[in-house]
Order: sequence, then structure tokens, then C-alpha cells
Amino acid sequence: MSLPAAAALLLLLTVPLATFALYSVLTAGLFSVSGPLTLENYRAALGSSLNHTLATNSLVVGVATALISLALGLPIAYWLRFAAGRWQQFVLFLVVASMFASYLVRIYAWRTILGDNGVINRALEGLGLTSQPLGFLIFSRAAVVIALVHILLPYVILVLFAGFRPMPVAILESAQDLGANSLTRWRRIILPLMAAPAVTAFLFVFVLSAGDYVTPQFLGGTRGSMLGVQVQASFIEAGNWPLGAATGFVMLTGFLLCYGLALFALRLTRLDRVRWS
Amino acid sequence: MDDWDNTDLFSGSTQAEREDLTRRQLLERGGLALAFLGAGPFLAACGGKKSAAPTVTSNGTPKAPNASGQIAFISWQGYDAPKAMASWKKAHHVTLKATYMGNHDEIQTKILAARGSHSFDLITYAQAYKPLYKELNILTPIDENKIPNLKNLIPFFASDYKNFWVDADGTRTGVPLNWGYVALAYDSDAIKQPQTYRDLLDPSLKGKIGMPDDLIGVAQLGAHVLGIDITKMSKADFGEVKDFLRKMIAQTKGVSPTYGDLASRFAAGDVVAAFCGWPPIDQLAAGAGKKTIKTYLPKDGGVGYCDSMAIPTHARNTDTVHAWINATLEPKLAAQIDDSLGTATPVKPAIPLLTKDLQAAYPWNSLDGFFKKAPLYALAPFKSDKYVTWSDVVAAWQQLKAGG
Repeated sequence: MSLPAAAALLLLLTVPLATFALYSVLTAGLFSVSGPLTLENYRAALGSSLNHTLATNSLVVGVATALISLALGLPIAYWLRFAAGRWQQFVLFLVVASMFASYLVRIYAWRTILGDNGVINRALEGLGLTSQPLGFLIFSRAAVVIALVHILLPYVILVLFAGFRPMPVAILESAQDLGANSLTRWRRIILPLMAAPAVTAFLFVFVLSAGDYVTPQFLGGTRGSMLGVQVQASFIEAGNWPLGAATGFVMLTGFLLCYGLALFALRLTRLDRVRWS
Repeated sequence: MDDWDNTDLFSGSTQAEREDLTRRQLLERGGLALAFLGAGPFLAACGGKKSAAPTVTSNGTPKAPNASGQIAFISWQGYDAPKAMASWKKAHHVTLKATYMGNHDEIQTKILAARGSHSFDLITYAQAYKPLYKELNILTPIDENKIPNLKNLIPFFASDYKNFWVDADGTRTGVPLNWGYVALAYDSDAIKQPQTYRDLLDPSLKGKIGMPDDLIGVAQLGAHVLGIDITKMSKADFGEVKDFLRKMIAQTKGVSPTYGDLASRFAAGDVVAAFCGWPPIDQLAAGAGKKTIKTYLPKDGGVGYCDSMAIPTHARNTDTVHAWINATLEPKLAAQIDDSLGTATPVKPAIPLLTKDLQAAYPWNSLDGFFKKAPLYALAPFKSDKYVTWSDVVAAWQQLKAGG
């Protein structure tokens, strides 16, 4: 049964990756690649001071987006599972429906909210709290993080809701009967049991946000550009496919490293073995 | 302000009449064409039979071939002229399968990705890309005998100027579709008209300057303002250009990813002037309620461009493509196309048919002089031991955009 799916995965994931792995060690021509094999592209990708700056931006934006999304998503998913009652299906529908809105429309919505003449600045000035627009609200890392949290939060909620779903209410009620207050229930029961789904959600958001190259162009300004933009520029503008492929593989290696570290941390704390039954 | 004189072309209409009459029309047409996304011509039926119609009449004059079938097209949105060409397509049973690009470099990337098989039948290219496309060998010759309307071109665009459209050996590879310039744009409601680009570096304008992520336009304009030809730029020259652009970017809060985005920033009041403005953004901003944006050539000039239609290698149904190109040179259709885009037409008999605003916006009578103030440049060379290469320019632009 799983053979066709495995074959599709092999075709759609492995073949492109292998192609780009090969490109990354070939010599760059003008919008072309040729022999001989070389590691020069990796040297250029790793040695570029611009890439260091952009990688730092990507890391900061990725971690910040993932942490904030998790902090917001966890209570919402908990509420959906244990407290929403008859609202559960409707709110889940709203969460899914929010993903139907165009990515670019949502980015532009934040432009109108965060801009110099946007909703927030006008409100602050109208209330007499500021005399001129708060310039840091837009075209900054913060603006990129805000927009990415908005875009990616529904995914986090769904992943965490799936994690909460098999959790029996009886366990939390038992803990309460035994004297555990809300904080203790979260610390001793919920968070250990939700560690694996939370790490999954974190990595999902981290990879998507750190690798994004559209949002930084619209909201990042000169301080919020990220490494994905550089990969795009290498392929599309400079026609240097090997450098773009090498930079992409450096990013992929970074992501795999994060994935490995997260799994290692789960195993070290034995949280990967926590089960309901 | 621009000081070109077009009076002999527009005798009988006053400037006031032109402005009153046409701003709304231009706004409606230009704005709509650029604003709507994805009304994609997924009309495509298949097939495309090749016509073997003669291309020269019995008296020796060129004749457009018969058209039918499908054309696979890639270019900017609106360059497929969905409204203007609708009747022609219907009459000839032609469908246009359009791919809209977000970046000019998608053209060569996609053609090369096809690895020698069919990709597109019709493309457009900016004149700056001609040396690259020649080097990559991705253009096929255009048969002038199949395009009788070439006679309608303004002589400047019919010429072999810098071999942008016609090679030195006389082979035609491109047919001009529209032209224009990038220069300085400002909001007359917010500031006095700047005299030079350096006025934009005034500390009082910090954070209020816009700039599009148009590498070619910005790089060419940055060099031009400093009196440097980007195609013959030494490392020392390049250092000056980078310093100048670094200062200009420091005046912005970030580079706009598209010209549409720049227009949005103008409309929102986030920027009051732009380095590398483009006349159609005036109309886009007006469409969003900001009618005081004006793109113009300051004392230090600007940079011109000309987008041309071309046939890539391994194109199919080339007779229909020739017929399409020929149709776009019909005066009425050419005027409709440029009205919808807000660009200038290379078709001489189309000029009086343009909206009055568009007629007044370009120096039709003195193109040679205009292109001295706003030259048509190629890209920096791709290989050179003497001059800065295009790869160097791309790398520097990424660095500058990231605040480096």
C-alpha cells in the first residue's frame, strides 16, 4: 500500500535534491553548469560575510517566529481540546479558513497596520501617545516575525491540537482531584506529554520562516533580509546555479542540524518516551 | 520638469484638455491591467497547425502569415494585451497561454531549464538583456518579410541602434513593443521638486525615499548619475557607484520588491520621492488616490529602456507568432496596448491615438536627444578582465540591499 507513496516521495524529493547536490559541486557558467567538480561554491557560500549576516537574521527570525507561534498556539490548542465545547468545530474551521487567504494579501495587510501611516501609528498619534510614527514597526526583523507568526500560527495550532487530541480529560481531572493546581498540571503532565508535538511544531515553523524569502522582501527592509533571498538571487539574477545550490545545501544542513539537536534533546530528557498509556 | 515639445503631433488640443480628458482614462486602463492577477488565459486549446502561407505578395511586399493555434508566452503581466488582442485572437482562433514573470531573469532561466526542448513561442526582452541572450543563443531570427507592419515603427526603433533589435549582420531578433525610462519620482504634495538625484540624500528625507528592487534600472541609473557607463565600468568607478547607492539605500527603509509596491508606498505616504521611479507608477499611485506623484528626468537625466518581442529557440507555431507581432504593430492595437500599460509606443501612427496624457508624457519628436539624457544601456559584461562584470554587480546589489 505504501509503495506508491514511497516511490512518489523518492521521485519528488530525492531526485531534485540529488540534482542540486550535483549542481552545488559543479563549476558555474553563465546560467549553466559544467565540470570539473569543485568545492569552491561551498567555500564562497560559507566564506561570504553577507551570508553570515543573512544567516544570523534567518536564525533569529526563525527561532523568534517558532517560539512566539508555540507560545500562542499551545494555549489555543489546549482550549480547543478541553474547553471549547460546541465551539470547537467552528473555531477549527476558522483556523483552517484563515489559511485560505493569500500569502501576499496577508503581508500587505500588515503593511497597512504597521506602516508609518498605518493603523497602529495613527491610533498612537490620535491618542496623543506619540508625536511621530514609530519607524521600527515596519521594515524590520520585528515586522517579518509578526507577519510570519500570523501566517504560520494556524499550522502550529493544528499540529498541537492533534497532539492534545488523544489526551484523556480523565488524567487532568485525576491530577486535579489529587491536588495538582493548574501550574502543576501544565508542568508535570501537559508539557512533558506535549513535548514531542511541540518540537514538531517548532521545527515546522522554524524551517518555513527561516527559509522564507518573500516576507523579508516586503517587510524586512535593509535590516530584515534573510538567506533565502540570497539563494533566490544566485539562481535567478546572477545565474550562478552552483552557488545558489551550495547556499541552499548549507541552509539544509543547518536545518538538519537543528532537527538532530531537537531529537537529541528529547531523547536526553527522555521526553520522547512519554506516552499516555 | 521635462521640456520636450510635442506640439506638431498634437495640434488642436491644449495641455489642459489633454490632462482633463485623459488622466481618468489612463488610470482606469493602466491601473487595471497591472492590478488584476491571474485572469490567466487558460484558454488554451491545443494544437497549432503551421501555416505555409506565402510571406511575400506577388508584387514583392511583405505579408503576414496566417495565424491559428496556440502561442506559449512569457513576459510581464499585461504584455499579453488581453483586452487589446481579444478580437484578433477570436478572429484567428488563436489562444495565448501566458506565463507572467516576477523577474526578467525568469525568461532565460526557464528557456535554459527546458534543455533544448520547447519552452515558449514568444517572449519579450529588455534591450539590456540582448548581449546576454545573444551569448546564451536563446533567440531565433525574426523573418521581416512576415511582419509588414515593421514599416510603422518610429525610425529610431526600426534602426539597428546598438544592435539591441537588429544584429550587426542585419538579423532581426527583436521587435520593439514599448519603451520608456526610469528616473526620479516625487510627491509634489509633500516636497518641492528635487533638481538632482543628490537632493534625495538630504538628511531631512531620511526614511522617506523609495527604491525598487530593479537591479538593472538601479545599477544603470546609479552609474549614469555619476557619469559612468555601466558597460565599461572600472573597479574604481564601481566603488563610487556602490558608495552612492549605499547612501541612497540608507535614505530608504527598505527596497521595494516591485514597482507596484513602490506605488503603494507612495500612495500610503510612506515615501515622498523615489530613486528609479517609473512613469506607470504615477498612474498606479493615482489609482490608489495619490494623484501627485510625478516621474521626470532631473538635471542628471535618467535611463531608458525598450522592451521587444522575440522568438526563443525551439519555438513552435512561429508563423502565428509572426502574425501576432505584426498585429501588435497595427496603430490602433499598439495604442490600446500602450494605453493599458501606461508605456510609450514605438509605432509612429499609434501616437495620435494614445490618451492625451500619454502623448504628452514622452518626447516623440526628439528621441535621439531624449536617449542622450536617458540612454539605453546593456548590462555590464558577463566576462571581462578589464571591466566590472554583471556577477559583481549582482553580488554588490545583494550586499547593499542587506545594508552592507
